[in-house]
This record gives sequence, structure tokens and C-alpha cells, in this order.
Amino acid sequence: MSNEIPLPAEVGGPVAAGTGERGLLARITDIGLHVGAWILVFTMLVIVVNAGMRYLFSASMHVVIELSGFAFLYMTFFAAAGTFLRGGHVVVELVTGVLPPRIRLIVRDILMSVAGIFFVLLLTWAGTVGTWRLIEAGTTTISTMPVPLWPVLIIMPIGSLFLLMAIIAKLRPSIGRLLRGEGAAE
Amino acid sequence: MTFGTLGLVFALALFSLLLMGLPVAFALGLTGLIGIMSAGGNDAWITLTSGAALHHMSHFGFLAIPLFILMSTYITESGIGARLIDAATKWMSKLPGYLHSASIAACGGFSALSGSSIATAAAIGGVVLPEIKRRGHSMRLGMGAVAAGGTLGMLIPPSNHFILYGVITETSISQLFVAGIVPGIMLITAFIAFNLIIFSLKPSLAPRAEQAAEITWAQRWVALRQVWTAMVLIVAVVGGIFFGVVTPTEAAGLGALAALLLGMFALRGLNLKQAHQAAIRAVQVTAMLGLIILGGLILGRGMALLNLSNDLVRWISDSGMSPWEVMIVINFILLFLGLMMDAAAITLITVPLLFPVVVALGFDPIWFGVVFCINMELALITPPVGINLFVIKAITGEPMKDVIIGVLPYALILAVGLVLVMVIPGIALWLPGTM
Repeated sequence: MSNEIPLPAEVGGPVAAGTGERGLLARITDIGLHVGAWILVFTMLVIVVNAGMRYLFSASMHVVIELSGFAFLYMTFFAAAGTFLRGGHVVVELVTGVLPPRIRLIVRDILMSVAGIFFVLLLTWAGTVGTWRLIEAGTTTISTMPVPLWPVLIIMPIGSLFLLMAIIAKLRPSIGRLLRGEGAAE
Repeated sequence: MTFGTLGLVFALALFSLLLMGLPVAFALGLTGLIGIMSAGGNDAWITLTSGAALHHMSHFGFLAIPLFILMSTYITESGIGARLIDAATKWMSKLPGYLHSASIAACGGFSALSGSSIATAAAIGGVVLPEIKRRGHSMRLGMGAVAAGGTLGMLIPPSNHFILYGVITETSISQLFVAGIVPGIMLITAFIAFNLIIFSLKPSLAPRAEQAAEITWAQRWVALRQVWTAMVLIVAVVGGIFFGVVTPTEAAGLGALAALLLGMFALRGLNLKQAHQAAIRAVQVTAMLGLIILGGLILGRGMALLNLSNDLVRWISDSGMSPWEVMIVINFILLFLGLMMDAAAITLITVPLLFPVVVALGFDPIWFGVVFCINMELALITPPVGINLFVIKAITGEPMKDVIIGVLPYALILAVGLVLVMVIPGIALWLPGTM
């Protein structure tokens, strides 16, 4: 927040252990990052064009601007799994950093991965039910050109599902290390 | 359960998850979901969670965050950091400790371009710290100057912290941006003044014989001409917001496009492939922040359902503390949290709770936003999790102990700045009052 920003790994580079150097999940999440990047650049252009049109022709593309508001949600969920695989999500290492490797493996890499899986499962379920309700109710945006809202929210369960797979992919090698009697990798 | 017990359980659950290494976004969201489920029954958590994503993450104001991040990644990739340092060094070459002061000045300039504290510390530190080491100047103070100068990214507009605060509290983001300018300049001046004093008193910390004679006025003007693009961008973004020509989100879009075009055609530091890689990096940061924001929104709903904020206001009014005593306690709580957590998480956890209290006590929301921001700047440079310290350590490879010792005097100046803004609210409120 800040917006504060870890320096993420390069796309196309190695990702977390257990996902394969360039495994299927890594490739799919790479695509998510590329799509997210294009959405970001497109949003930038839409906003600039709209600002220009407002000043030059006193006209605003209300619908396009309304839809661009959803871009933040789309970018977040398109890139969530890829960012997770590249260690881009902020973690407080104040305590876990000083734990013995074996305890660190159990607490941080296994227990907290399970907690993460539980949370993301809830997120996926809430997104799925929420999307289904929007479809059933036929909910749209309130504007001169109503746009259905379910295609907006559907990115939440889809992105969460890939995030879930990414957490599981990172958990697998940790369980292997636990069974072999080893400690955390780092 | 009483307010005290409930608040304690909530805080314990959250901090346990955070300290055990659960990603901040998940810890915020999971604690919030537990709160919602315990207060609102079976169905409320689904409605509130999907509603937080659909209706609140789609707030047009939030869109300024990824766009300013994009501007930051474009400008960082384009190599402007080295040029800013070059210009600042040449213009300050007569001053004692000129490299340290130039670092601060360049950090101020880069902050206004990037809006990111870490990007500022990394971009400026990567250029100036090897030079400080090569010339045998004080590395400790150099690392401190860059780490502290980097924090200005949070205060000097554009600032993602202010966007987050503004959206959560429904306070004018434009006014928050403008309110950060005078305190930002005040801190830059104070940091540079400290450098002048310390290097005048102990010249051995920065021998300068080899430098001053070499720089001509022609070289200074050439160096300044090389950063005209940065000045154009700063004036366009900040000026556009100040004069009400564009909204912060539009300013972010325009700033990002301008940074792309300047990086490609004026600075010639960006090609299409690098521009796409910069956009990918921006999207990764966006995803990280987006999930933290979603987690924070869920937590906020949990706290609202449990009535924690109203209970806190009532509890404080029953305690008999004066408004200023409450404000001092709030700042100590923020300082304490800053020792453990990053600024975005602290903002999302505490602002929904504290903002109603602050407003009920009659404090100005814009002023509190600035006070909060300076407090979070301190969080960036206080161990054990001050992220700018880690950035500097990663750049230099110096022991963390030296980084911390170096940053200490600057952290004290920042703390004094915080007290000054608290005691003299006009420092923050004068400029927005002219809008």
C-alpha cells in the first residue's frame, strides 16, 4: 500500500517449487498476467480518451467509464494466482523468520497454506453463489445502457479457483518435506 | 460479549494469523469472514463478500491505484532515476554532503513521479548508493537518506496511500493529494538541513574536494534539461488535480500514458517489450494490493456487523479522555502497528475503526489523513518490518544494523515532522484550503 510493493519475479521466469519450472499452472497463470496487463493498458487509454472527449466535445463515454470501473476487479483476479506463485503477496515474517526450519515448515508452509485454502475456498464459493444470484435475478448496472453484472463478478470465482490451485501446488512439496523429516526450504 | 472482549478476540485472531505467516490479504479476509459468520448468520457472508468485490472494488477512485502503479513502473523502467540523481548532484555539488542531499532531492522528485515509496528507494538507491560507497562518503547516512527519502513517495502526490484512505473514508482524494505537498516539502527541507548540519560539523563523513571544482554551470543546465520530462509529468499530474482539470483517476491515466510516451520517445529507455513487462509488473502489484483491499473490505464488514466502531466511539467518550489524548493514543497505536505490518494492511484494518472516532472528536479528515500518512512513513523505516530498510539492504548488501543506524536520525526528523503537523494543522490544510 502501501501501497507497498514487493518486487515481483519476472514473468516467464522460475516460479515456486512444486509447480514445475514451466508447468501447466505456471503457463496458465502467465497468461492471466499478460491479459491483466492488456486490461490495464486498455483502461489507461479509455480513461485518457474519455477525458479528452469531455474537454474537446463535452461528451463522455458513460458506459465505457462505468465498465472500466470493473477493471480493478478483473486485473486483481486475473493476476492473483500468477502473483501468488511468484511470491508477490505480502507476508509478515517477523515471527516465522526466526523459527527453526522444521517448525517454520509446519506453521507457515503447511498450517497457513491450509488456512489460505480455507479462505480462498470461501471466496470461490461466495463468488459462485453471488454470480448465480446475479444471473437468476438478471441484475444489471443502473445506467442508460444497462449491462448485466454477472460477467463482472464471474471473474471472482474463476480467479479464486486458480489461486486455490496455486496454493495447493505450493503446499504439495511442503508436505513432501514434512514426510521426509526435513525443514522449510527457506 | 463486551466491546473489550470482542475487540480483543478479533485482534488476537488477526495478529495470530499474520504472525504465523498467512498472506496479509488472506488474514484480513479470513478474520472478517469469521466475524461476519458469527454476527450475521449463514447467508450474510456470501452477500457481503461478493458485494464487497462487485460494488466496492469497482469504485472508480480505486482505479487510480493500478494506473499510478503503471505510471511508476513505466517511469522506473525508463531510467529517469539516474538522470534525477545526476541533476540533483550537479546542482548541490557545493553543499557539504552533496550526494546525501541530492539523494533526498531526487527521492522527492521521483516520489512525485512514481507515488511508490519502494520504487523511489530502489530507483534512487540503486544509482546513488554505489557512488557514495565509491567516493568513500558515509554509507550509513547515505542508506538512511535514501530509505527516509523513499518514504516521501507515500506523502507527495500521487500517493496510493491517499487513494486508499480517500476511498475508504469518502474523503476528497484531490484534497488529500494537495494536503501532502507542504508537509512533503517541509520534510525534504528538514532532511537536507540535517545533512548540511551534520556534514558541516563532521566533514570527514563526506570528503568533497574532488567534486566541486569539476562542475560548471553549463553542465548544471544540461543536467537539468535532461530531466525536463520529469518536470512536465509532475506539473501535468499534480497541476491537473490541483486546478480541478482532471480527477485523480484521470490524472493517473494521463500520467501513465505520458510516462509511456516520454519513456519511449523522450528518454528512449523503453521499447514495446519493456513497456509490456512494466505493465505486467504493475498488474502483479495491483493483484497483491487488490486482494489486500478485498480482504480489508471483508474485515470492515465484519467489524461493522459486530458494531466494533460504534462501540469504540462510545468507549472512548465514556473514558473521559480529551480529544488530543485520544489522538496521541491513536498515533502510538499506529506507530506500534507500523513496527509489525505494512501500511496498506494497517490502513484497511484501522481506518474503518478510527475514522468515526476521529470525526466524532472534531478532527479534520484531511488533516488526519496526512497525520496517518506520516505515521505510515515511519512504519516503512522502522525495524523489524520496515520495507524500505530491506530494499536498501538488498541494493547495498550492507549489514542491516548499519542500515538501521543510518536511518535513525532521519526517522527522528520524520517523527518531529509528525508532531509539527499535529500541532500546526495549517501545514497540511493551508494548500487544500486554497483549492
